[in-house]
Amino acid sequence: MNWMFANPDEFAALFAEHTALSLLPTLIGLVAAVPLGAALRGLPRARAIAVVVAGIVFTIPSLALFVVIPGLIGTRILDPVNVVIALSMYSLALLVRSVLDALDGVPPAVRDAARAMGYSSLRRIVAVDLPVAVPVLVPALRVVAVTNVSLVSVGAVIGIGGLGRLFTAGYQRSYPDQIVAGIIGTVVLALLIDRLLALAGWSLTRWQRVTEAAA
Amino acid sequence: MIEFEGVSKTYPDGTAAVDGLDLRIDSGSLTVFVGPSGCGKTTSMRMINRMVEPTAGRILMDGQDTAQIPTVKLRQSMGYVLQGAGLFPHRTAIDNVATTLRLAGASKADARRRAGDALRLVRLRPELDDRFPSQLSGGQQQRVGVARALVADPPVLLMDEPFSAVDPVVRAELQGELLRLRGTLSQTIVFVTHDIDEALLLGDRIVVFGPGGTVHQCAEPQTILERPADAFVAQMVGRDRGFRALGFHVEDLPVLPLGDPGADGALEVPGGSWRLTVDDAGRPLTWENGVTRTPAGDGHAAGSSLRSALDAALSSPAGTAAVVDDAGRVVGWLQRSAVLTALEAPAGRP
Repeated sequence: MNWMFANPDEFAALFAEHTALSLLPTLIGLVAAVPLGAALRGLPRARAIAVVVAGIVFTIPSLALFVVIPGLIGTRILDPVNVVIALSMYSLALLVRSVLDALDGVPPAVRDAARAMGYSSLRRIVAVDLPVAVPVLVPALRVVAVTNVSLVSVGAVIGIGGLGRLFTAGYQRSYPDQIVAGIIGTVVLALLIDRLLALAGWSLTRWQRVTEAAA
Repeated sequence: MIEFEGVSKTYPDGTAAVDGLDLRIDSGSLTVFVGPSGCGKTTSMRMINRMVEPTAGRILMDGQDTAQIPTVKLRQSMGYVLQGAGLFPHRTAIDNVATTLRLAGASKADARRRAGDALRLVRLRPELDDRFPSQLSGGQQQRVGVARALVADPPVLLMDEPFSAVDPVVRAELQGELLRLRGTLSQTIVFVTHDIDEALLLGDRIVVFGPGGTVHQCAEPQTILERPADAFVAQMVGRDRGFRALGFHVEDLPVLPLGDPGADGALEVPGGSWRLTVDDAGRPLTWENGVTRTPAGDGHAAGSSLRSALDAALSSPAGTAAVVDDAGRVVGWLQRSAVLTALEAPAGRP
């Protein structure tokens, strides 16, 4: 704890870096997963392949991915972009399945009604399918975001990792205070992001809660 | 006017959902597509707004080939009511209705105002406007569904088994509501159902579909009942066909006048010991004969069909039906024998 109060600026900088490194991939993953999931729903064969590929992607160890990516796309080994790309891949792999499940959960009659009213496919997905899918989608998004917070720390081994660098530094110097600061920062950030996403989901699903109250 | 010209829908595996359909649906009519499940009636209707594309033939909307009209524009010119309403669960009743107008480019305030008007038209109570679909009963949801389809005043209304997911009491209520609405609306309505009674009740014209997507008969309800084109249609119409056909016949029946009411206000049925008690408004309550009491129905409304007359005469324990006016008030008596005499008369019935 002492380290944290003695070095507030450094702690804040690492906290900010960690936040960016975990949120950016979550956002990229979501933005990519929604259209991909929507497109795959109409292609049963591609969908089956995509689900398998997504499962495989998630089994690749994160550290291996951090190290391999620079060789593949020509970035420097210490470039934070490597971490962002790797985590975006995990996020996409996890979210594309959730998007598929969430869109599958939209009642066919609702989708039919929207089509018959003259919604174009794109407009229907944005205005009808996604809002109806929010109750399934948000819990998945929370898991992905929190997973990213913990995975960013692994990046510390290759020198990029936000608060994770406090673990490596504290370990090397046998300075537990720094490690504790890293743990506290990571947990607080994970909780904060999880709560904010839960709140966003909550505010978008008033229609679902009235059902429970009425039942 | 909607015209089907040799319209077929064949799926890639070779099954024909609809086979060479030729049909003319007049503007302002209510045409019912009826048939067992899998006979192509819903597919035929969904080809009108191109939710399903025909594999052969064409469909003309006021002379214009629908294949030439952009789907979004075509669909916005046709209201669509689904089985179970298919309301958007994340929008309130009024916003569900307003959505139709918002899609057509109306401002939010204008859309909500007109949505409110449409909900009053289908008689949804105003306090339900801001409820979400899950807070509404099946019947209320379907009212919202109808309002959503009607709010933009489209020339065509497509109804896909709209009342089959609600219980019989609510269904009868919604059917009555549709008949009432027809008085104020100019829409051409295409209504799909598997329930022949619903078809006979609502339709101006009935198209009977059979297996393989072929049309067995296309005629007015009375003709369907009295002269079914083939054994399939006769079987579809089912039992009591002759009795139900009486529903389309109105005869001038001799009505006996009421005598003076007794001290308790009950009416003496002529030629017997039965009496009929009435409520304060003069509507039938109970048939009484000594200690025997039987609840009375609504009676036979003057000027309604022979079916109603026969049913009232048969169900009255006195053998004499109460004749009521528009307000349901007893105004005279109709003897069973008079109804049977009318049935004997050769008035062009089968």
